[in-house]
Amino acid sequence: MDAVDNTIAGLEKEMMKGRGRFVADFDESFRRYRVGDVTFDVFISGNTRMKGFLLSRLFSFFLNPNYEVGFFAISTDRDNEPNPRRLRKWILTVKSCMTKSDMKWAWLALVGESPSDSVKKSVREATDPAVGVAYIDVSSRQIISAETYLARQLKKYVKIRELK
Amino acid sequence: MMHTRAPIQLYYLFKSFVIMFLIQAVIVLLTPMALTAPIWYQILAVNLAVAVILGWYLYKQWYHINFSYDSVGFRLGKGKSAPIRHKWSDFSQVSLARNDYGEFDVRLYGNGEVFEIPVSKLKMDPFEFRLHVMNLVAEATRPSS
Repeated sequence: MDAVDNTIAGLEKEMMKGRGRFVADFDESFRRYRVGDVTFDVFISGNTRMKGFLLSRLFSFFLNPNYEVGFFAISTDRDNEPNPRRLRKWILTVKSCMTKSDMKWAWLALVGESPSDSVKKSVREATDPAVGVAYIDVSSRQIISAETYLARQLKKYVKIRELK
Repeated sequence: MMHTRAPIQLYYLFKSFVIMFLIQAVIVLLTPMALTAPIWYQILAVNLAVAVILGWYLYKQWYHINFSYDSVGFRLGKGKSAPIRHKWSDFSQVSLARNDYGEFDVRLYGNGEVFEIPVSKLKMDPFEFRLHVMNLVAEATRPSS
């Protein structure tokens, strides 16, 4: 596996077993998830109401909202660079999944190496309030996020780690 | 080549032991104290020994999981109930799901059917095994040329 694949595998673990669980109970993960002609490397569905034993379940029941959410990750390379048109297509695909599964919001993580300035600009300009978009640069270990609340939260909860 | 996994699940073995010990403890508590008091430690020793034997038997009857697979399909047996057999080609989609107890299952989607392989109970790496199963399903469903 290369660095991008390793990072995607790390992201999946982070969402299902790590810091992602502070946000939602991400409980089912699909790899190579195909929607139309777009294939996401990872799609994880979840719910904002946590499961757990007695006290945490009770706490969650009274304090947490109860709706479906999702996490999508897609690897990018030279042939699959997120230009505005392609990024819009991915966001629309995410939104079609959201409608189908009745999700309130979703995160879309783009994982690649050394993004060009136009890619960074495209990501920063992704302003859909229901889809938080961020670019995870594996080479510099930086995360570039859009200016929306969800995207900033994605940046906060994602930790770049490569699986050994 | 057939791969087999049948690890001892210590939690369920302990649970079986406790069930058997408690049943005997209730019987002892319902027995008149005058009969049991002089041989209290002997009864406890016998109870423990019997709980170990019957607990192991109960575990094997109810909880022990035996999983074997090859490139064609798999077989999953629980306790003494009849094992379930499937071919990888019966399924089209694979996911990794976490249940209410925090354990991972590899979930297989077929024609209106969902089947779960309890990978955490089988003490396998859920993320690695899921990818392996995805490859097996893809190989099995690939149209032959």
